Parts: sequence; structure tokens; C-alpha cells
Amino acid sequence: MKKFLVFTAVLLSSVSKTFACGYSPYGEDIRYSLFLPGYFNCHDFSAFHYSSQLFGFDFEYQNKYESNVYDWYYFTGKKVSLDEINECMNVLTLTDINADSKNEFVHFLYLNNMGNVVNYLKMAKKCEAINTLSFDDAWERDASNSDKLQLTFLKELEKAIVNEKNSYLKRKYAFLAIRTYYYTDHRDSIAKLFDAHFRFGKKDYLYYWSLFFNSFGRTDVSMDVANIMAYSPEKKYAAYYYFHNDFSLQKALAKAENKQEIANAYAYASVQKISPNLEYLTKIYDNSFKSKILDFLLLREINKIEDWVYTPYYTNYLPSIEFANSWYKEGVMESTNTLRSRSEKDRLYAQEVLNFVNAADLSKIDNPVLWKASQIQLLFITKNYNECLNKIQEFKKNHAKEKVFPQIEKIEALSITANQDLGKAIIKDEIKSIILKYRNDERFLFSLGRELEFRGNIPDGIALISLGNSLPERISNYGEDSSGVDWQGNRLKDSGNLKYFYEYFDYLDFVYTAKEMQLVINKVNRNEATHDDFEKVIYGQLLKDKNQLTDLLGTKYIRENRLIAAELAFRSIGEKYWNDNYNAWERDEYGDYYSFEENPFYDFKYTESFIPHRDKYLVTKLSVTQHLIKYLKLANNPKTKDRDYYYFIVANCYANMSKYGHSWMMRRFESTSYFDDDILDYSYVDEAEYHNCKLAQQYYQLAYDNAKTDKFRALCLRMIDFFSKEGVGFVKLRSQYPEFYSELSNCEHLEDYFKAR
Amino acid sequence: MKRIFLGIISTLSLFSCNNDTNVEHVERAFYYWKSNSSIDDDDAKHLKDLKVRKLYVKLFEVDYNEARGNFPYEKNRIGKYELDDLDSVKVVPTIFIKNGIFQYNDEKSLDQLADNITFLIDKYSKEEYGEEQKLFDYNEIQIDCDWTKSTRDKYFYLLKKIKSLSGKEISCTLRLYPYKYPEIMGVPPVDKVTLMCYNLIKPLTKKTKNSILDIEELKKYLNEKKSYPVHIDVALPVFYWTQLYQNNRFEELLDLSTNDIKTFAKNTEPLWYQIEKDTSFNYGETYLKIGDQVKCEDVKASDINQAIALIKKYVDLDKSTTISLFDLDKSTFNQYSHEEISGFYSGFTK
Repeated sequence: MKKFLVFTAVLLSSVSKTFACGYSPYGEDIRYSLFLPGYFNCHDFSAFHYSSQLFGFDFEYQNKYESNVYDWYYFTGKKVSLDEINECMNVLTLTDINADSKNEFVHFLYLNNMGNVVNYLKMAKKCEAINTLSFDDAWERDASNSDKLQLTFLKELEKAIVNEKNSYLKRKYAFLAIRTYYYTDHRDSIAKLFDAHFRFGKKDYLYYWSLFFNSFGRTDVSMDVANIMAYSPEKKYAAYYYFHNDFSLQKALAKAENKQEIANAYAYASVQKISPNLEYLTKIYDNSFKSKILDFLLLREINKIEDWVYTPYYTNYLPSIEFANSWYKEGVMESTNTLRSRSEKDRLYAQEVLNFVNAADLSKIDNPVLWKASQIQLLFITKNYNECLNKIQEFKKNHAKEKVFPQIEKIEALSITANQDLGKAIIKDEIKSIILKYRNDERFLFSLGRELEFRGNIPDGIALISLGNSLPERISNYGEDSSGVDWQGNRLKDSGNLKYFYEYFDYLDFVYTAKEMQLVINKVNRNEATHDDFEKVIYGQLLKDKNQLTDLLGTKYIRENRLIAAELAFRSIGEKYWNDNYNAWERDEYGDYYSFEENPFYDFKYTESFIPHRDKYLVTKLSVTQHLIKYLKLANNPKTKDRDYYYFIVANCYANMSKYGHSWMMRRFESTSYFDDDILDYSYVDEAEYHNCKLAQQYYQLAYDNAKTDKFRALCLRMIDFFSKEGVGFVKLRSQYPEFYSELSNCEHLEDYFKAR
Repeated sequence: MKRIFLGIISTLSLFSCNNDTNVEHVERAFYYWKSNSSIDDDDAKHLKDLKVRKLYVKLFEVDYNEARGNFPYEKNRIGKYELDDLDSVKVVPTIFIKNGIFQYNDEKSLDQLADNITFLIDKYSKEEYGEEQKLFDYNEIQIDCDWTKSTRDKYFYLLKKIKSLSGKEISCTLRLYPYKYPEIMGVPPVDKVTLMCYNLIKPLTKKTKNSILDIEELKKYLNEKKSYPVHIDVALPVFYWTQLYQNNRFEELLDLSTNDIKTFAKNTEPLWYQIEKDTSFNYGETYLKIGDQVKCEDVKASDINQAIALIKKYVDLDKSTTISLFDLDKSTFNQYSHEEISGFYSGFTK
């Protein structure tokens, strides 16, 4: 998927900054989360982090050393380093276990005359080979021998268990045998060994490892696998992966021998649940409040709520993970308001979870910092901003060195910002240092920007969003593993999919009116002269893009047909910009693809020139706008002699500024195909004009009204027909001037008819 | 093998009496003039075998229209992989400028044009994506333009401007007319020129003449030993084309050689053939019908060698001179043997 994104980006980069149809971000690309598992030490549960990749089998054990490494470490009295033991366990093979070994653990064993341990290690290494024997026929001779070999070896192993006097090693031999029985498919023999050596013994890591192998092929192991998940970091994921389909909470509870096991059963049932899980959380807390898995599940629950609340609220996407099809009716139009109301509904669930956290006795739980931080998240999500800020102050006093501290500061900035009325939101002084401190966190900047934007402060909101957009690592990681935000437009009309964005510029282009855009430009202009360092920083990207933004403003005015304002905006940019853009010299953002190739007043695509070029000038957005104003003025003046001529060339220009023309750049920053009539971006204020050329038709009509000859009138009607959907077959022309229809139905005689004016 | 041997003997004998050359070292070069195309492994191998060390790569052409002003087109940005194959070949960015643009330009707009040209060359000398790493280093820019007396001043102004903006060595192409008449055409303000010894006749104008290379025509320009104030390099033609006439009216240029044409047409007079069998090319886009007339213009190796002899005799070449062949194309290697092409270079030092 990510590769596809990169491919798409590269493919489109030369023609468009927004993504066209064909790809839509989903899953982890859009899941919104601020409260990350990485802030807490919960590596053991990484397989169960809330993620849209629900059943990814790429789980890797993330703790550095497995439990048996620690076991041997204590066995040596901590005299051999964990790394050396780890190397012996996981790297060395049978032939490496000898007196000349450079491995310190092996050396230690020989030095201390621990021949029995050496023998055990050799046996363990032999097991590894035997376990994979049936899969490994390296010489490609005949694998049928493997059964015989395995049986011989298993007998040797059983003998070793009996002969070993040291109980520490005896258990280890027993585990080796259990595991080997499993891999060599002699599973019937496992139970006997397990009962003899583990069932009634101490419940250490080796017990759970053995229990894991003992659970295969047996019924009613729900409680066992729940316990394995609770106590064995190495087997947690496997206990879920192999047994979750047959897991029964009722059966597990029926077998639970104590409160802790009840909690474990609920925990097992919770780890991959994607629907609200407060009920089980409460059960776990009631039965075992001091447990790592409870802490993790609370974090996971908040990540769910974030997805349900933040994803629609900040990005206008549906949550990345939906837990029930019926929850959101299929086929519902995801308008902004619908998304927001879902988000509000889910905030109510957040309140329930908050009540649960508030009611908990934080002095008794395993990781109170996680619970306090959770409280803060939930207070923010439930919009209890004042209370949230109080808790944040407490947290800051007591836990300034915690890994989650920066995240709490970000929530503080968000709360202060969100706690303002519509139309009055600003970036308050007390959060400026937080913004500067975390200016490399795009999600944070984006959330804050959206909070400001929602409260009517578009310039500051967009400044923050653009600042996040410009992060170098976002650009270099683009499509790889970026924390970049994809978001969709605030759709007010309901057609098709929401347009989605990865760049603030495209968002500004699509969503805001010229008036709103003017506010942004005004602020950018003010900040260009400001001496306020903070403003300089947060407006850094907008200031950098000022010319393009002003171009966008002018373009928005063109879309609204406010030519004077458009001209003013275009003119304010300066000559260099027009020299560097919209031509083939590739000096700036808008190169070849955006080149003006012909004069929109005189020439048409695919049509031989038929209008003399009376005025000659370099075609830019500025010069086109200036001439449009000039020609309109002349056309509208009753004293002008050639009003029909001016109306005609004005109409040409409007036609060329549509998707059919060569000067579409006057209205758009990406061209759309001639044939994609069905794909209408209604949020562009001039979308109908862009597709239907109504203004062109209107001015051709005025040219017709002011025309002095029939031939020229016929030409005007022909142009109206040509640019109107209803005019297929030149309906107007044919009905009024049937005698000219034949000649005007192709391009060859256009010049004659134009000259006949 | 025998034929090759005989070929070498005859080539040697042709040049053995010519001692009228100063040239001691020939820098072997090719022009690469295609747009939207790439140099492939075969091209690279040929260049390597021929010990070609310099490639004049046309990066873009410049034209003017009123809506766009001066604009680049026919762009050809070469990629990293192509250059990797080219080993130690030096790339000389080459830009063709239509002479017609100068009537629409003043010094101000020429300043802008020079700036745009140097900008785009520099851009194309770097990688397109990612870090802007150098793709090739260049210390020379060549400008190709058929300037006239009336556009001379503006063209020379532009050349000077490109030189000052780029800080590179500037060379330009020199047709035989301005070579012969510097007092009329002026001497371009460049570090060196490349004398283009071909296309002396405007295509389609003279029915019986080969417009690519006509030795008699060449002799009109090369008939007296003379020196030129700027160092001269030489370019020779190794390309061909065929002009298609239907109903006595020129239709199009075809990328076919005499050898190709001979398979379905009969020779009617020197250079001219008449189609005897309906034949289509390019998936039917080109359709030659019985009776169509074609004029095949290609240059025999012996003609090129005659041209070399004339150039050596009359053009005052320096000890070290770049000899370029126009242009790098698969057909070149079908048209001439390796020995023949190599001989076009070595002929200057013998």
C-alpha cells in the first residue's frame, strides 16, 4: 500500500499536487492517535496494540532477551553477561559447544566443571536440529529416514530426563522433550511429561512454555491460554494466535480458580476486541486491579476512542477500524456534519470510560502514571477542558520526567486552544513555547491547527497545518512510514467521495472561499513585516509560499468572477513570479504542465487560428485578467464601435478558462479530463462554470445581440452550441441559420464567418 | 573479413598522400539530437568501441510565440542510467535556438532568455528526483543557431550573456557561409566554433542535388586556405533521410535509407526511386504506393572522406580538434561499418 502511495505520488507529482481517483488512504494511513503505546513500557503487548492491521502476522518479539536467558543469567550468579548467554542460546550450534569456545557462557561452564550443563546444552542444540528434521532434507536424499532418527533421539532424551539428578536441569530436559514431541508430531506423549514435571510445580516461565505445548489438541484450554497470555511474554501472541478461535470466556471463567484468573480470562477476551470494552475492563479491575494487562487495555481503549473521535473530527475520515457494520449504516453519505455527530456520540462513551478511571483507586494499580495520563486524555476528549487543565498542572508537578510528559504538554496546548469560543480563538501566549518545542510533530500541529480553524481562526490554523506539512522528515518519509496526516475536505454538498488532502495548499484551494483566503493572505502580509519571532516561525511555510498563495487568492477571485480583486492579487505578486511560472522553463512550481500555450482571447485547442491577434502580449494569469477587464469594459460601453467583437473575444477567454480550454490554469491547479463529466468537485465555487461554460455562452449571446451581420450571428450561435451540452448537433445554429449549418459544423470556415463581422 | 581488410587498405591509400593537416589529436564526438528518447546499451557500446569521449546532447530547443514569449521545447533530459553506461564520455549541453526569435527580442528579454537557458541546463545536469546530485559535470555549452546578418548582433549579445551567466566555455555551431564571410556575418563571441560541413543546400530546393552533403557545393566554400579567428572544430553528417513525393508534391520525410528503399522501388535517376510495390511502415502510418516518387539522400563513406580531405586542405585546424558526427542513431551503425566511422575521425590526423 505504501509503495503504491509512493508510486502514485511520483506518477502524479508532475501533473498534480492532489491525488486523483484511484487511491484513497485507509487503515493506519488515516487512524488518528495522540496517546501512543510507545509512551509506556508495553512491548509485551505490541501484538495487541490497537491498529487497523488487526490480524497482521508479522508480530516480532520485542523484548531484548527471552526468559530463559535471564534464567541462565541468575544460574551463573550474574557472572556471565546476558549478551553472551543470549548468543549461546540463539546463535551457537552444537559444534560450538566445546572447551575452546570463545563464548563466555560456555567457557564459564567448562571452567566450573559443569559437565552436566554442557551435556544439557548439547542436547538442546540437538533438539533444534531434530525439531526441524522433517522440514530439512538438505541433501535431498530421502526424508523418510527422519522418523527413525527422531524416535531414537526421543528415547535418548527421555533417558536423559531420568538420569539427570539435578532437578533444575531435569525440568529443562522435560521441557525439551515436550517441545520435541510437539515438533515431531508425537503430541500424545506431552501430557504425561507435563503432569509429571510441571503441573504441580512452580509456575515460572518454563511452566508456561510447557503449558503452551500441552494445550494443543486438548479441549477446554481456555483458562490455560488466558494464563499463558497473562504470564508469558514470549507466548502471549502465540497463545492468542493459535487458540483464539476456540476460546470461550464462559469456559475459562468456569475453570478460574481465583480472582486473578477471572481477570486473566477477561483480559484474553479483550485483547483484540474492537468494540467498546468498558464492561470487561471493569471486570478485570474488580478482580485484579494491579496488572500490566489492565493498564495496557486501558491504553488500548483510549486508542479506540481516539480513532472514533479524532479520526472523524480532525480528518473527516470514518474511524479506520469499524467494529460493526450496523453501527454506521452502509451507504450513508459521510458529510461533515454526520461525521461530527458520530464523533460527538463517541465522546459520550469516552465519558463512561472517564467515570471508570475516576472511580479507580490509583494508589493500587500497577502503573498510576498511565492512568493519570489516561484521565487527561479522556477529559480532553470529553471536552472537560478546565478539569483537564487542572489535572495537567498536577501531572506536570509530579511527573515531569515521564516519557508521556511531552504528550501531556501537547494536550495542554490543545485544551487551552479548544477552550475558546467560536470566532475568538487565538494562539494564547502560554502555549507558544509548547508549539515551538514540538514543532516537529505534525499530528500535534495538525490537531491544533484544526481546533483553531474550527473556531474560525483560519489563518493561524492553516499556518500550523502548513508548518506540519513542511517537516523535512515528512517529505523524506513520504509514503514510507510517515506520521503525515491525510485528511478530507469539509464537504458541504454531497456528491461522491470526499476529496482528500495531504498538502495544506490543496486544502486551501479546494475548501475556502476567496474571502477566507484573503484573511490568510492579509495575515501573511502582516507577518512578513512583523518582528514577532513566534509568528515568523509558525508562518514560516506560508511566508515561503506567499506568492503561490497570492496566486491562489487571485485564482479564487477568478472563480468568483471578481476580476478587479483577482487582478489586484495577481499584480501584487510581482513580475518575477510570472516569469518563473506557467511556462516551460521549469524555474518554479508551475512548469511545463501549467504552461500557457496560446492566447485565450484568440485561439482554441485543436482549432486552427481564425481570429487575428490584435493585441500581442505575453500570456500570464495577470495579463489575461487585465485584458479581460479591459475588453469587458469596452464591450459593455454602448459607445464602443465593435462591441460584438469584444463580447466575442471575452467569451473565447471564458471558454478557454474552462476544462475544455487551454487556459484552465486560470481556475484550477490541476487539469481535469475532457471526459470526466461525472467527477464534479462541487466545493469549487465555479465547478458548474468550469464544466458548463455558462459565462462563455452568455458573452457569445451578447456578441450575437450586438452583431451586425447574419454570418457573424451564426458564428456566435455556433459557439454557444459548441460550448453547451444542449447544443449537440448545433441546435441553435441549425434552427436559426440552416443555410450556414453545413459550413459552420466544421472548423474550416470559421475565419470567413469571423471576418464577415 | 577480407572485405574489411580491403576497405582498410583503400582508406589508407586514399589518405596516404595527404600531409596537409595540422591535427595531431582528434577528440572523437557525436551529436545526440533526439527528444523523448534515451541512449541505450547498444549506443553506449558503439561509443565505447569507437573511443568517443564527447557527446553533444541537445537538451532542448528554443522558440518564441507571442503568448508564451521565448519557450523551450523538444526537451531531452538524460537520466542517470544512460550516463552510467556512457562511462567517461563528457556531455556538452547543446541548445538549438531558432533564428526567428531574435526579431521579437530586445536586450532585456534576451537577458531573461540567457538566464532561463543557463538555469535549465544546470537543472538538467542534476538528478531529477531526490537530492539534487550532479548527473554530469560540464565545462562547455554549445549553442546551435543559423544566425543571419540581421540577427547577428542580438545573437552575439545572447552568447555573451550566456557566457557571463554560466561561467562556462561557450561554443557555437558555424555554417559554411558565416565561416567564409566573417566580414559580413561577424565572428561569434565564443571560445570555439564547430564548422557544420553539411546541409549546404536547402532541402527540397534542388532536385538533383543531395541536400545533406554535396561535394561540389562544399567546394564553393572550401576553395582557399584561410584562418578563422576562433578555434574550429568540425561536424560531419552520418544521417540520412528520404523525401516522399506523391503527385509531385512533397509529403513527408521518411526515416529510410537507399538500401531500405531499394527493396521495393526502382532507381529512376540519381537519388530518385519509384515505388514498385505498395508498402506500409509504422503500423500503417506511412503508406507508400506504386508510382510514388522518393528522393533518397544519404552520404556515402567515400563522400565523407572527400569532404574530410577538403576540410584538411582548406580549413586551418588546430593541433587538437574535436570531430563530431551528426548524429547518434542506430541507423548510423547500419549505414557505416565500424572501420568507416572510425576512419572519419582518424582521417584528420593522417
